[in-house]
Amino acid sequence: MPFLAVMRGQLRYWRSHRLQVALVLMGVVVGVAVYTAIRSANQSALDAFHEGMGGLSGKATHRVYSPGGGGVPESVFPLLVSAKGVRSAVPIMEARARLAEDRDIVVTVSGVDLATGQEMVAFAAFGADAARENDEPPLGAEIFLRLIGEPGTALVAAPFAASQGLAPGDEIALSVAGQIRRLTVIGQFEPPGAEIAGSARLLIVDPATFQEVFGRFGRLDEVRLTIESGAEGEVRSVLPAGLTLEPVGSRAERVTAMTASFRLNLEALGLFSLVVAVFLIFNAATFSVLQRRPAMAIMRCLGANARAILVSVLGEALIIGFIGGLLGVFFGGWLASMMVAGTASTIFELFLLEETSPVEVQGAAGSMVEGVLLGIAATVAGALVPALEAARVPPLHALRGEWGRRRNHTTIAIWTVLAVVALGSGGLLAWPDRGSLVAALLAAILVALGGAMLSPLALTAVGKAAIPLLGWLGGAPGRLAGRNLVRYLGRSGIATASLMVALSLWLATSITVGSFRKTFEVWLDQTVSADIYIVPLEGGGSSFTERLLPRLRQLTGVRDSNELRRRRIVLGDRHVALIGIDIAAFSRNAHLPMDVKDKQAAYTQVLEGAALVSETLAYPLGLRTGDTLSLPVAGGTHKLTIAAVVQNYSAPSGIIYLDWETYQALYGPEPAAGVALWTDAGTDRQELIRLIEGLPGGDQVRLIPNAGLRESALQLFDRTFAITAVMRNLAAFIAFVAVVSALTALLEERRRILGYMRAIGLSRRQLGFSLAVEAGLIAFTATLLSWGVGLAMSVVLIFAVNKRAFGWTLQFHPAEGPYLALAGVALGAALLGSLYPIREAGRLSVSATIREE
Amino acid sequence: MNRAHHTVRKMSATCAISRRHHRARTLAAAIMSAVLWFASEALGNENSASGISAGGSGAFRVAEGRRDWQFPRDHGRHPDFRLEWWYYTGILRADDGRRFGFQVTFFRRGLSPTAPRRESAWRTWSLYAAQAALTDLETGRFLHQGRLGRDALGIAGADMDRHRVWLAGWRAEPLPGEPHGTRLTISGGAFALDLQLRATRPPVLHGEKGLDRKGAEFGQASWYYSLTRLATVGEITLDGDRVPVRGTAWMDHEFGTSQLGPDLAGWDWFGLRLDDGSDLMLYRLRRRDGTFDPASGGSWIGPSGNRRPISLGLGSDTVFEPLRWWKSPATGARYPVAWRIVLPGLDLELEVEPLLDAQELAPTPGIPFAYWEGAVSVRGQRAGRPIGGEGYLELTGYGGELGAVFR
Repeated sequence: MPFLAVMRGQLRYWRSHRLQVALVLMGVVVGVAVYTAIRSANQSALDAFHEGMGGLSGKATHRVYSPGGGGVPESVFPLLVSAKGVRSAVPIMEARARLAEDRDIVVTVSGVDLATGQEMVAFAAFGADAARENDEPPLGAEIFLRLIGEPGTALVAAPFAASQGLAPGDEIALSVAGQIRRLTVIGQFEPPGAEIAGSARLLIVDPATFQEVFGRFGRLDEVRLTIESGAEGEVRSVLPAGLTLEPVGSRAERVTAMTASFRLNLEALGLFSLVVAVFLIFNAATFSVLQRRPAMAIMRCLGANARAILVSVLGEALIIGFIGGLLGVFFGGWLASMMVAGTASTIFELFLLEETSPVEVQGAAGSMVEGVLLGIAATVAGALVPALEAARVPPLHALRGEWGRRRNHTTIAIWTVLAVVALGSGGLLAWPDRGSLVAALLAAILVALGGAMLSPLALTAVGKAAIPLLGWLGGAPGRLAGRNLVRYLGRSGIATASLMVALSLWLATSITVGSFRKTFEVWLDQTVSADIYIVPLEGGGSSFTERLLPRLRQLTGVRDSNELRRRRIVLGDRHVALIGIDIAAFSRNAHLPMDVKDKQAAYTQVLEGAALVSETLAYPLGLRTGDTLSLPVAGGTHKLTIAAVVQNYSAPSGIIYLDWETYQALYGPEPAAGVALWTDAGTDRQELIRLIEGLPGGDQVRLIPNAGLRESALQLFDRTFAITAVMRNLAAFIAFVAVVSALTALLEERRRILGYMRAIGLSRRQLGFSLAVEAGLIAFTATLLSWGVGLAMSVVLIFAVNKRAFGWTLQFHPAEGPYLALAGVALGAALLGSLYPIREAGRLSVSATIREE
Repeated sequence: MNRAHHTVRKMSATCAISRRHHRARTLAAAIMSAVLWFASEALGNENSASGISAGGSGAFRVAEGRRDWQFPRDHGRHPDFRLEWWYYTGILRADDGRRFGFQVTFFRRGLSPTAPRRESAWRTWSLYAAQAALTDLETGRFLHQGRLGRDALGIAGADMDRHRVWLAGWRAEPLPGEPHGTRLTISGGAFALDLQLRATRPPVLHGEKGLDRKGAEFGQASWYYSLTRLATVGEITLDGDRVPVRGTAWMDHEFGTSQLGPDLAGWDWFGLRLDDGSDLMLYRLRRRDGTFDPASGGSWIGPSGNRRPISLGLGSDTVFEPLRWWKSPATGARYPVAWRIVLPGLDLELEVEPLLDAQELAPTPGIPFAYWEGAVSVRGQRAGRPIGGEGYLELTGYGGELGAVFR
């Protein structure tokens, strides 16, 4: 029989079994989609993050910044420009503002000195007509001179200009500190990395215009330099104390180091999705080949050789894998865009302590090719094993349905021993208080695998234990179900294991995230205790401090208040939030969970100049209460004692609390970044908020009631963990597909046996019942196992993975697990999944299946 | 003098180029085009029939009438005028016999004739660009670098009442006790200069008492004087070595607002010191149509400082003949680097040879076009007696850009 005929025969199968085709294809599509979505979402988010750091001064070799926070005094700039070895220098000043007309749109305004920084500024500027194709751009010189010479002029990123319909001569009204500031558009520019939406909402103005608009006089965020090699010493010699010169790569490295844990977790998630995808595709492919074994047997009898069969099956797998892979990549791109915003903003906010810029998914060609290849490879691999079987069996046997026996005397013992080994080594890896994150993640995987290896044992136990009960309930068909379960351990064991792994992942993530959320909520209750929080709008800091603050304390109904000063410092290889508060007022009103018993003593120490350090900082740096901490300050470093290590879940890169007096002594006076107000019982807070809004300067602040702050904190939390919801849904879906394909495979394999059963008098109904019970037993066993394994995994995730990645102490809340939902989904999947096999079994023609005998 | 002119001309050429090839040029090139800061000057002229340039320059004064020159005050800046530059060129010798040529230029480009209300320390009313070049005649190397910055925060600026200009660490400062003396400090990059320039002759006012006409229109002129012989001592830092040097330098200081005509294509400028003690400044303004602007001219300065104006305009029997062209491998531009000049009125016949062919300056920030400016030697005869000399030659408008202008 020629190969083409074989191929035609295979294709005929597809035409007559559209449902099966759809199932296989769906498996491939979903598998590939999930994988590529998670991969490209993470990649895009990280890319955007790094892109954002390069910014407009792409060619800089070095940067000057203040590790103690507070920026660089602008008087340093001429010194740097004139320093020996400095080729080019550009001041960096950046602010975000909302459009006055559409407050949902946040733009980034960047102050750039095009004169001194000309050689290093990495964007193309052009004027009015450049956006029109084939048109001459107007003189660049004119734009350049106007930008520097005319106050209030701006260049607009071309994508943003296009989306807002902005043309040269138009005005952009920004809302800054409650006032409207107008900029005149004089040209456009092509931002670097323009495909990223975050860099698209960008305005470039002259440093003078920047300062006039935002009122941020005298200080620069930082200075970027191009310097000659070997000139670092010369440049350092002109820097006043408190400023640091470093190669630009350092910041990226630092951020890479900081986000390493986060990224590793994301990658573990991506790996998990890969395993899941392969599993799904593998199952679907296996299923489709198993079903066709009789047809293939006929072909072999008609003269097709084993190789033709094998090649036809693999060729078909190739085609399906390719189509499914393409569709999956496409679908995955869409899925990624849903997830990426959350991921990117999380990284920005958590690690740079900066506000978010929106990020769009970039069609990473790499991950797309990867996705298609994955689809093909997994489909071919899935088809390979059954295809080999189909090709290897002699045609006559095949025709009779003799596929060789699965080894029923399965080596349960061996699997069980392996399971114990896996679980034990997982436990050992996760046990130490300190250790590597990779080991912890490996431990989680080992626990899942160990659990899976327990499936044969559990299934046998459940099956045997259930036989009497089933016999009592359903007579022979019931007993039959139990026995089949045990006998066909090869297939039922895999089905159970897959279902169990999916369910326990679901359970483990639910418990972990739930525990985290519970812990976070309790912490919020304890620390976010003020009734009203007041935050100045961008640029409103000083007027807020000078005009509004003194009046707040005199308002009736205000019981206590606490001003907050905040700066970002660089400590070792991380960005850390340094917070100055009135520690006495804080201790009167809030309870900060800390590692010392005598909190009052700790607060007293802080009053005398010590610091409270978050565990997110203490854990990775190996700091403990009583240790000394070196803070970067103007003129060097300042050493202080750690009074206590406190819990804080708001910034994984670390927080240090100082008393306001200490803070001021180290960094000088500066505008408050916020104020917390506690009110007397019975005060009408809404009324108080209205009163404050009416005070002079009250229009330049945002007033947030306690509930509002809590809510937005929890929203941020939920957004951060949104990706785990995807995992949960995925797990439920896998559970379903696992059951359907496993049961179908079981049916295909036992066609003849079932035929005998029908022949010896089992009715269709009884056979269906037996199959349903078998499915139910698989679901039951998988659920029981997953409860245990899921709990064990969540313990590993909470106490090892999370601790080692972020240093957080979380309380374990096993009650957060959706145990019953798990059982429900498993049972539902089992029953739904058995519908098709039951229908097929019902159609079995007794004579056809056993005619060989 | 005309350099400014020339510069402006150049810029318009560059602009045209950047217009044409915008699509082809990518990022970096487009950035450059944003910095053609002299270009709008040329544009302003094109828009203005009267010679009073448009485009926000209305309040700048134009160079016309009489001027009460006072030194050292007039060595300082003149913010009433939009464009101003200080040019220093010279030929120096080290003790071991090595010879060097150097050029240092500071440009000021006014954005507004009046100081701004400075709420922000960055708010400015002038931009400064500077270029420095060194010709190492021993090794045949030509090095140059450039800077750009604003008159704010002390980044760049010039004093009103004395010879003091600076930009990002580069400085021209008064020498104590010398009304016309200057100390030049150029640092960083491939070479550094620290030179003291002392005038041995008083300033020479070109044109009519310093009013040097560049065209027939009202305002097409600039204020222009030179210090043609500056005894120079100092130090060159090259390859990490400090080389003590001495020699003679030339300084030009020129300021105006709208001196350049719209049809100017480029210019050839000569600043020569002859060994009979006389000096010669000549410039020829080339129009786009290939003819020369009648305003072309110069000055002959005798050993005692007496000046004779030279007109190269209509009816002049002078001869300017390029003897040799050099093609820049970097830009492809061809420059007439060697010349024969005959000035019958002075009974003077000269051949000008470059001391090195490759003395082309590539674009630097703020000066986005290439031009040739280099040390030359002179041989010839005056009234039948052999004569020699040295000096600097400047050639602009020869870059490929010009083609674009003509189209």
